[in-house]
Amino acid sequence: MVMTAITVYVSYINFGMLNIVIALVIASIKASIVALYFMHLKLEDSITWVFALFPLLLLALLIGMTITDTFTRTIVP
Amino acid sequence: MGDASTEHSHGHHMDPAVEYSSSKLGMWLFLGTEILLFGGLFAAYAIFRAKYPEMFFEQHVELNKKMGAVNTCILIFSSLTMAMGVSAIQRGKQKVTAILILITILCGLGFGVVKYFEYSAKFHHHIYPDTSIFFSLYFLMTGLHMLHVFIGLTILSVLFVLTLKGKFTAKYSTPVEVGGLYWHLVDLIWIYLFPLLYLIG
Repeated sequence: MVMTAITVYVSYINFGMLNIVIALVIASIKASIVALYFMHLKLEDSITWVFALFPLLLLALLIGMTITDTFTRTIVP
Repeated sequence: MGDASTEHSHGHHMDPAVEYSSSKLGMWLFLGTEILLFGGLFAAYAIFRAKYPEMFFEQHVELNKKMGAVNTCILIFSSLTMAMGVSAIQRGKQKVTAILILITILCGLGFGVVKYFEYSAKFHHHIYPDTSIFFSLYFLMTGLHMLHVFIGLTILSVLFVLTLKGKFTAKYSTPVEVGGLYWHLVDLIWIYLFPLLYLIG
């Protein structure tokens, strides 16, 4: 909740492109705390870690590939 | 070996430890698919935000940051009470668990009420999902999330009733833990939706 206060506060300051990076870093710290402690990932065995992290890799692929595709297309006249 | 294995071949009498860990593993796998379900929307968001940064900036102002922040706190708090509920049942404290699940449910309902006011304020200002790409994504992402909140609330209500009936003990707490994992995912998704939709710098 402290983190939420920080994100809201930070969003009022203009860092240009950095804003989104800061917002996502704070979100990821919050998400890691939820996963590690609330969801007990810290105490889980390695196969659970694989099950938890592999979708993130797929997510990165999904978003990364779609972006590289969309922004490297040249329109054929 | 022969007699025992035929007797147990229906799978109803799995080793409790195996059953416990495979239930949780199955839930983690499902949560992975859930992340990818939202992943498509996150990818769409990334592309349109990169293409039309001005539109995203101008239109996100319409969203109520305070309500979004309040809802973020409510959900994180409910995640905390759920986590406490899980550790309570692991120590066999049924009443405490029931109370903690009830608090979690109330928080979830509170989240829904705030979201209801947000949606009706948007409709009041004639903002609909077809207003713009930004609001399309806003309604779709928060709407899909809201659906997960409702499913989570249903699961929690069932867990609440079963806990009151004394179905769970320190030795058998798997449904509470697995239901808890689902509720944490609902929180996880919102943790990302909030800054992406409400806090565009």
